[in-house]
Amino acid sequence: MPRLLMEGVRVLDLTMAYAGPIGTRVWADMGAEVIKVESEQRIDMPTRVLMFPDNEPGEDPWNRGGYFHRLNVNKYGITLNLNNPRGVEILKKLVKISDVVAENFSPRTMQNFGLDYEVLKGIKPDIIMVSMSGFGNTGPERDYVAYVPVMEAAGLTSITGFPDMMPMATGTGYGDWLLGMSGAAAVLAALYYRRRTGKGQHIDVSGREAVITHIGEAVMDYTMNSRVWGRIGNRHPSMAPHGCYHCKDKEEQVTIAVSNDDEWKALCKAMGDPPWTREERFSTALGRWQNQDELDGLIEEWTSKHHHYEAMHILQQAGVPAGAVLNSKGVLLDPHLLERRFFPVIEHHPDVGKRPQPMQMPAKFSESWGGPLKPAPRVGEHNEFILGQLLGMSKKEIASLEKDKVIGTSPSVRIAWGKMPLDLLAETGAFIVDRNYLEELSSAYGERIGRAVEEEKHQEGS
Amino acid sequence: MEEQALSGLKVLDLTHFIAGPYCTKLMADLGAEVIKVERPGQGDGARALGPFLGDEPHPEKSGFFLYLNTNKKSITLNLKSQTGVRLLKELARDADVVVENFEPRVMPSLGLSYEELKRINPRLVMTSISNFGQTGPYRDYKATDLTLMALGGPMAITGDEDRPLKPGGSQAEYMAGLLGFSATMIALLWLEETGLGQHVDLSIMECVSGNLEGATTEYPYLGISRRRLMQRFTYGHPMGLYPCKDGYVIIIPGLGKMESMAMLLGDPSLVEHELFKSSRLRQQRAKEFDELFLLPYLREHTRREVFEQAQELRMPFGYVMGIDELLEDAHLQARGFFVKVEHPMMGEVTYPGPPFRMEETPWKAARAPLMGEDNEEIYCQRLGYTKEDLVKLRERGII
Repeated sequence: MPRLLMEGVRVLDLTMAYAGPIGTRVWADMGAEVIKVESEQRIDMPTRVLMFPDNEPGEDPWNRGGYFHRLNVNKYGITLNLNNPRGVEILKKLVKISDVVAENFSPRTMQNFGLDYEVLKGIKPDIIMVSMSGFGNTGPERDYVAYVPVMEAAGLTSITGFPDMMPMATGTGYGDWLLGMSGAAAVLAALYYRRRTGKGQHIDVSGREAVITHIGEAVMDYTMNSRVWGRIGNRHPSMAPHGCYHCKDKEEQVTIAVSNDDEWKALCKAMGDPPWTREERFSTALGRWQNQDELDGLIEEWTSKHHHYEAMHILQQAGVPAGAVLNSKGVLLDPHLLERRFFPVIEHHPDVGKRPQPMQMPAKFSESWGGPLKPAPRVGEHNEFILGQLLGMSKKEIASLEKDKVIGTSPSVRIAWGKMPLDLLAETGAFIVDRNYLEELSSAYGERIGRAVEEEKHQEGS
Repeated sequence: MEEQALSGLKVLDLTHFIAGPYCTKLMADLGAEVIKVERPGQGDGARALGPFLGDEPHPEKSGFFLYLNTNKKSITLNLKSQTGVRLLKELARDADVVVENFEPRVMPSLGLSYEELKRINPRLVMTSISNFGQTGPYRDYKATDLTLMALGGPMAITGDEDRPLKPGGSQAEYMAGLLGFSATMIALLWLEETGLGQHVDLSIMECVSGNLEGATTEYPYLGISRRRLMQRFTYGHPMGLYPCKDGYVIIIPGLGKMESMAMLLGDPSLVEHELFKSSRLRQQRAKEFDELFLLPYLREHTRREVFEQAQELRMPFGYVMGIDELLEDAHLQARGFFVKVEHPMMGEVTYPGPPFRMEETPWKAARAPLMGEDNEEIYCQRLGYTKEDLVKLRERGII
């Protein structure tokens, strides 16, 4: 078996919530040894208690949150109370044998723990430390707290939305994703540099700045031409038609983007050459762009006779860029993603069962991989392994740490957790609820998805 | 010269438009030598994409192209000619990395498949970024940022009730550029350990689908698929964007922070109100909550006031900034984020700065190349052709 892509890289992962963990998952996916550090006093909230398997919180809800699983696949998990000097001592021992320390606290927190970069560097001179935050490690607003939408609000939100409405945040937590992915990228560059020079370093990532780097052309239009971009919905500055159209089923839409005359002719032909396509006003790219309100209505007459995939395949066969709007179920069951195994099925602990989760680094490498994906860790699951095997501590020492609440597996935090109010979600129209999801997934993935207990229930019922 | 993170790394860049060039821009800004190979005549298609300086289309004045190609060298080469392919192979022999974002059938049809290049240079890392990847039923389908945002999943959960919405700009492309950079670095780290190169296949659709936050977990765990109302109803109310006196603010009380909300609204006793006590009632009667409590307060306060008062109470509020306001932002200025770049045909223009700060190894901003600007350096000084050879190649339309 070939060496795993990131085999031999050890990461001490102090990150919590979404941005940090999704970044460190990139390395975990690739075979790095990522050790996630929580504490009984502070587990990774709220992700640990969101999205229970089949809406069952069970006896230990903190081990069952699907959202946590999604973000922490393939990581080791330990607990260390960093407010206890013995906890900090152990953390420092781990720093000594690690390559990377990742954190996404607000900038002063690491200092408060006595664990800022200078200290870590004293322990391990070539350590790479990455700090991920909304505003960055310096500047007048560095101590402000920021979640996703605040990062996106650095320019992206102002250009996202329909012209007739207020701006919109993405529904996907894009700002956090971008912060985490930028941190992941930076560390890879730092590892490469260290491999050649032996030098580590500190990396400062600001989510707001990362967002601005992804709207570079809008910034340039302002700095070159003093033009401030507004919101154009799904439209394009020069292409038309370029939009999202309703289909036969009211839950379905298809997008179409025509970039030249050839694609326009192909679109007309695929729709059966209705007479309006020959109208003078639609004969040039500029004419189509100027008359796109009417054009969109006419195209929708055609799309509304078809299902989204059907319209997409007809148009693609004709050479027109088109894509069905897929929701989460659609993406999980999409034939293309299934064939490329984008969602590996991960065998979690028995009370969760097998569930597909996306790859966080989707690239396929011809000569190696990151190895089979292990489930996300339970609270403190690898305390004995990491402290015993890696630090060589005795069983007695470990037991004493447990007794003194420096480590442990029973979180002391108590916040309300319970079932997702599926009835309320269906009532408000926020979600489409599908009762047969385990069957649908099992048939698409060719193996039994879900908990073993589900099967028992089925047998009882039948 | 000060050492940068990727100093000494040689990248042969066959990319065009957005995703590929952004990937190699990240490398070039960190010190890699990136040789951009452009089609003679038109060059990279991004040279024809606006915004242009003064709105005048010109291949050297596209702000989009200039942003995506900082710090690179440019040569022209016609890959549809046998001589062009031969020259490219000469360049590939000496490269560490080749990045390309053609449709999957193109590189093999030019005789430049990974297998072919590996024969010349077994240590080569080749990264291919494409809409749907090198395999699978949609492999040869066409796509744009819009259709990828649809198929990948974000549009189903962004927008209003009736209308799925694509995020502004070209986010699918940028996402793939960023992950293409990381994937290439992973292959380079592996090369350092094993001495072996490899081919990296990155699908933009998959980059997009990996960005669905919890949505792709909700279905396999709960059987639910989000609709676009999600921001208002999933994880409690209030949460989302709201109008205020001078624009829009982002309201996120955080979990269990209704006490702080009451303090922000200027009346701590509100916590006794049933709509403050029950999150379920708040979700059911969201509109009533907004009209009773939130909107009257917001109407009276500016973005900055709401932001600062909420942050004081440790609530992670924010506010929507226009592109113009970013350039004036005191925090970004204090961090020296934006940079000025000089260009012979553009003068001095301000660009966005680095996506991350590596404190030991500097990030640099230097202008994008003119089309074919480095032909002489690369073909004559590197490959040893004479100036007369260059004239002949030019006459034959190869460079």
